[in-house]
Amino acid sequence: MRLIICGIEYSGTTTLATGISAWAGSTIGGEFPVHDHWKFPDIECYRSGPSPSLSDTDRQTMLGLSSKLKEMLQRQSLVMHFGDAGEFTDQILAGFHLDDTVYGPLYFDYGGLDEPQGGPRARYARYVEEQFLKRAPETVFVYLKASAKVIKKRMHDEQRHYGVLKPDDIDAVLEAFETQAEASLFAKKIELDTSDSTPAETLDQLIAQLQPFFTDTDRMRMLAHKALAVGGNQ
Amino acid sequence: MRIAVIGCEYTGTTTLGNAIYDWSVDTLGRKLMLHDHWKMPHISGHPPHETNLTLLTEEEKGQVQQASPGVAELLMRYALYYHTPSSLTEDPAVVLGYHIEDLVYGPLYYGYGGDGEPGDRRVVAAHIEKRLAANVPQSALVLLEASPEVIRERMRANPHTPGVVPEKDIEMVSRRFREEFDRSLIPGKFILDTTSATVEETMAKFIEQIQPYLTPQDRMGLLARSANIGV
Repeated sequence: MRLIICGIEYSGTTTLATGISAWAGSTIGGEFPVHDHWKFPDIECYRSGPSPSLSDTDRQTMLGLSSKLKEMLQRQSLVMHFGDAGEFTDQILAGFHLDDTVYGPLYFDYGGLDEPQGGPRARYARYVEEQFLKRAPETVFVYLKASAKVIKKRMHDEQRHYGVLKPDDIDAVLEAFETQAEASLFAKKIELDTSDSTPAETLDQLIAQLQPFFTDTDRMRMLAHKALAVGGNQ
Repeated sequence: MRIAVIGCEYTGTTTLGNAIYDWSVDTLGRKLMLHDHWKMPHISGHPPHETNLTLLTEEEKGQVQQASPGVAELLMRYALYYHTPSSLTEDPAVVLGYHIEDLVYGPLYYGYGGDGEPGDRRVVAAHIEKRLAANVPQSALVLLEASPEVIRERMRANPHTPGVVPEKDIEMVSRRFREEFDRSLIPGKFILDTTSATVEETMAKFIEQIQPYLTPQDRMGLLARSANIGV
């Protein structure tokens, strides 16, 4: 199962990614690691071995890097997560390319119209999607949104030390995500509005809407997991 | 053709890389990408064949040099994966230093990538080579060696700013490159000794030994060029 979950900060991407990961682990079996590291300065990914977070000093260093270095890190990180062609992998990516597309030009001074590396990020996002469709056509794109009023309230209630979104930009960022979600090349798309839903309700909605997109392999694994659990083997 | 050229600093990897680039253009009719950006702080851009826009400014090089091991580790690891194809490709490239240089220099001089540490370079190197085997099966690995005396002479005559390897480490670093070369699973491997060879002589040996690892596209280019087709 491969999911890319995108949306404005505070729309619930992290909560949903964590929730669907736990659900998949208990239903399909196995581990479904969440990659949720596309908002500066929290961009670290450890595929194997110890998985520490960056220290505060490291984070300050990250934020102090030039826009050219920030662009390089994000682009290379995106490509690193394409996955190997033909290799079976479960993947849950939260934020991913649309965090980079929306926040790069707005807050980190790269990815605009004159971006020398790969061109404007809005165009690069389509390249990223093409690569995913080539390597993993089963990928499902999940777009989360919420009303500006709700985003503002969540921001107020849960302030993040390294948050990216600025209150004055909520409308513009919502619109930018909407534009990117509409332009997305993924055929398997799910859109969820979290304005009036609890995290559990949103998770239920996602699971319901994922049903047609599960691959035969996913279904086989669910059956096997269930059978083994009933048999007392798990 | 996809070649990784490794070796202790001052064995001539950059010189050979540039010569391979010229040879590829002239003889195979193929412009390859020359990736020579694995020694901090020179980690961006492709001189002399690409726009300067991607080269780092002095200020940016300072940021890279002052980066903590945690940040430097990410900068280098993301670059390693970015430059390792994750699907079948015939795009020609010469990568100088690459995963083995990072495996040698990371723990020694940059403070990251040791055994069991985040971004353990032995794990990363194994993954990089697995990807190469799957997606660029005709990869070749070339180790450049030179005597410690000659490396020392070159270091004094033309010091890099900043250099990576201190004089006292030349023997140890040369040995480390040989160990990792021997350990590498890339099937096409050969060693060139540049101690007393000119660039032309090293290139002549390179051309002789790279033949089994040329791709069908390389050979088509070679044939077309040698027959003056299209000229």
